[in-house]
Amino acid sequence: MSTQIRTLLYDTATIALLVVVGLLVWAGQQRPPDRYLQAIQSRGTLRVGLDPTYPPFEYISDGQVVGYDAELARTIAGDLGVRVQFVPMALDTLYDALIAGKVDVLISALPVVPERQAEVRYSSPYYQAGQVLVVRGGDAGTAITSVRDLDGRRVGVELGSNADTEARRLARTTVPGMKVVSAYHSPAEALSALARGELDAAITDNVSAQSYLRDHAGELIVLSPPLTDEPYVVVMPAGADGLAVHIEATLYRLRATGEPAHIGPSP
Amino acid sequence: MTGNRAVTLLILLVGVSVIAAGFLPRYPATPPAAPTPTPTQLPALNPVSTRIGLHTRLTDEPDPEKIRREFQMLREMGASWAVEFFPWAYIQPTDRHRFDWTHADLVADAARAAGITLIARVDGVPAWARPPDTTWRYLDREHYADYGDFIYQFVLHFRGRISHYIIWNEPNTSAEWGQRKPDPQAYADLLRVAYTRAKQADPSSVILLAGMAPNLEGENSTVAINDLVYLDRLYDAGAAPYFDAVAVHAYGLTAPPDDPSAPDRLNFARVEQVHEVMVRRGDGAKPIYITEGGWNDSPRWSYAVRPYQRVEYTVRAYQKAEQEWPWVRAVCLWASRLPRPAYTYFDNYTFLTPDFIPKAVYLEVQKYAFGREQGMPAP
Repeated sequence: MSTQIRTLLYDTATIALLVVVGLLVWAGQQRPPDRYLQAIQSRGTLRVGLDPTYPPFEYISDGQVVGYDAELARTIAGDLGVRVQFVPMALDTLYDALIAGKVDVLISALPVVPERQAEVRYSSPYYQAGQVLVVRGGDAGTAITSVRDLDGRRVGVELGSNADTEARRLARTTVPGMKVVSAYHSPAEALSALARGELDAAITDNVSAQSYLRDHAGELIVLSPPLTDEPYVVVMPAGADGLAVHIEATLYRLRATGEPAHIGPSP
Repeated sequence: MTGNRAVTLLILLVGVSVIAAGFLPRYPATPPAAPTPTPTQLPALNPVSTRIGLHTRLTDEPDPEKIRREFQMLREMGASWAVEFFPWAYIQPTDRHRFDWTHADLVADAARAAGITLIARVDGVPAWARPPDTTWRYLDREHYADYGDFIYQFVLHFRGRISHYIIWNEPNTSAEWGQRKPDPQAYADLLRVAYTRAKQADPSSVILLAGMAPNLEGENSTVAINDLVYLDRLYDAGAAPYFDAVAVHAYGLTAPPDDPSAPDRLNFARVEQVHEVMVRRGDGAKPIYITEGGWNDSPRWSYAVRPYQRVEYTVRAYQKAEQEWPWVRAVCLWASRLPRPAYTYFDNYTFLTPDFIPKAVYLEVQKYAFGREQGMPAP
């Protein structure tokens, strides 16, 4: 066999091998159609499981499910081109309902549960509900920009709350000179005391802080980043890859446009 | 000795051993010696009440250091008691002949070293002692003897280290009775077997009737039997000689601890209703141990209270038991700590975070117990 023929055969075999490998790689990347998404589209309805007892995220008003999560669910359904159907249920039955196929997604101010990650799929966060540090707006005297500035400062919290626990953690680990004032019966009481100048800062959950800020615009500001990471996410069945792509696209669009207002970057 | 003869003797020896093993009793004729308990080194703490306790949740805590630390922090809070669950299925997972005491020993010894009196709740049926497709709360009469044998071995093993034992948990609910209709007569029979075997192992052991799930279910409910009705039926079933004390679950739900008790109310003071049944049935001299109870402060649960209320109610609950209920020997509220976050309202029952940060409720109980917070090392 001449050298030319041998070279031709070698080149042909190499090209054939590359084509086969390329086909295999392409085939491996092709995912089976998302049966969950197909079911939603053929039904024309997105069934959303939630526990409507948690304002402002989901609650019943005039017989209707309303709130941030209800609004988010309607937006996702609208982007999918289907109607939304709310399926109210108790909080501790939500996951069972999703796994049993009684609902398509859960949108109910739910955090990521690491132990659940094998059986469900979580979206990216749509709300940061963690504990936040709140200071007076426009208060040049405070100069508090992070927890490091809390040494010797009076920091108010709701007695017994998660914010209380977080403040005690900071005082025991990071800022020993911080004075925790654990005397208030609600986050709003602590924030009001801060606004009156009785405290240098307050720690509350972000939901309570944002609620107060809406009603008392300009008094206080929430510092970034949050002290604890407690994101809320949409929960889907494991394997709902196509549905996840649609939901992420909606969340991305909402973050970009800032609507609704609660979906956005972390405080 | 030739090689053939040695092989023959070896085969005979093995054969005789196998045959002999078949005739061995189900538990060793000579009880295994219990490990020598670690000498108790009581911290120099003298709380105002010896009734303070918590239910620990160490079943899934593998870290020995964390187990020791939790009991130490209970002691520093002012607790003298703790309740812990010891699943039968964990200790005897494969068959009725083999036991794994490793984790249970860790827990019992850590409690003892901290000066905590441990109450052991023992249930959780291993797969080999129940039919397929049943929950580990399912035990049929054919296996009562297996449970009795396990109780015997358990009490024998912990004799000198654990003195109080709870037989089963909330048998008045379908969920805790293996998804079957609760059956007071069947539980009374199980209690008789367990009590008899426990006393054979350690006559001084204190056997507690299971804590019932407080509820107001009607006669036709398949979910549960009203706890007071169930207790009455246990007396009817002849259970009285087979328990030394009664465990009670005293959850306050949304009511304060001083909310008056009544048969149709679910609150912390429902324990008074249980005591009244005992008195009416001539059993009022037996003590009551509150082995679960307390308040939850999750914003996601409709039966929760505000966090500050949980703090106030909890301190008052310990105080109330001390001042008003001389027949209550211990108040072990749910729960000291979870090994890892549950990400549900369960997290809002605890006194310590998974990384041992004391919550306000812990510190306020400590103030009640000692009149001040104890100095504790930073985590």
